[in-house]
Amino acid sequence: MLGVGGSVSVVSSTFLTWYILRSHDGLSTTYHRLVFGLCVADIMSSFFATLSSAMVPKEMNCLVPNAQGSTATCSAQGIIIVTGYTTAAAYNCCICLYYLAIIKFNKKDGYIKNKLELWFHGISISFPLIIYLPTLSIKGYNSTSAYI
Amino acid sequence: MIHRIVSDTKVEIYPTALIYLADEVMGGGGPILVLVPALVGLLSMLVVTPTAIVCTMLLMYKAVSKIEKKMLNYGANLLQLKILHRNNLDNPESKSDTCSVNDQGIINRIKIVCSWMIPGLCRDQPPSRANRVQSHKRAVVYMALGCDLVWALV
Repeated sequence: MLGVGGSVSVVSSTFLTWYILRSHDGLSTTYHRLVFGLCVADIMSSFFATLSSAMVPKEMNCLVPNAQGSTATCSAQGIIIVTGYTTAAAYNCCICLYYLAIIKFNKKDGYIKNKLELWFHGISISFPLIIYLPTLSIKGYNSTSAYI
Repeated sequence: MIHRIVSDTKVEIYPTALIYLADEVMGGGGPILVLVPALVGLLSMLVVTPTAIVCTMLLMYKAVSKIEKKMLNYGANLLQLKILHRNNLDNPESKSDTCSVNDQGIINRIKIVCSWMIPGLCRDQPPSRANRVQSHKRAVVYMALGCDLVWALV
């Protein structure tokens, strides 16, 4: 189930990314850049979620089916999944705030591009990394039930 | 839990896995570094994001409703009717169309009501600038709502 959902998510996000890049505006608009960031985060997290138990260390093969990875692959999968999901959620919030700035506060594109967009991308990318990277240093993504 | 499993007979069946588990869970250290990010991550995913989305949606909906009410007070509908009437006077042959206001008869009235209910049917209706503005903002709100519903579904 996780594999099917992840695959559909990867394909959909890839098509959306391709559509944005092939569009007339490309990445020149703030909205396209925000959706592009959302899609990239979703592709990363969904792709590694699709791999599911294949990245789990071989030693767990008796408990987890298809475990063929190592501690490093498991850690990589864990950090990318949680970072991707949190980044996607943060980008979703930012898209809402972007709409709010346009509709309620009547902000122009120039103002959003110069003042707000930097914060949108900065918080969306740096917040998950600051939160989750320290856990990686103690191998917190391997066998704890909190993540994988 | 690990000690209980180790003391069972399962240790003979899966010794490698249990030793690995015990090493990783018990010997990893730094539970704060695991628990705090997990809690912060869960809170941000399950509480902060939905709250932010709902709040922004409500604010946007209130703003759009306010704009629409203001446009009604300005008489956007009257403007639209005036333009429609002028269009009918300019093109008398289009009087028999479904969008004509001056048509008589029950069937024609029903047609008019249906065409007003389904905007796509009323193709001869000239666009009114005021209504286009309000529908554009409402469409943006609906688009944002759609994005957020998709995310919530995922």
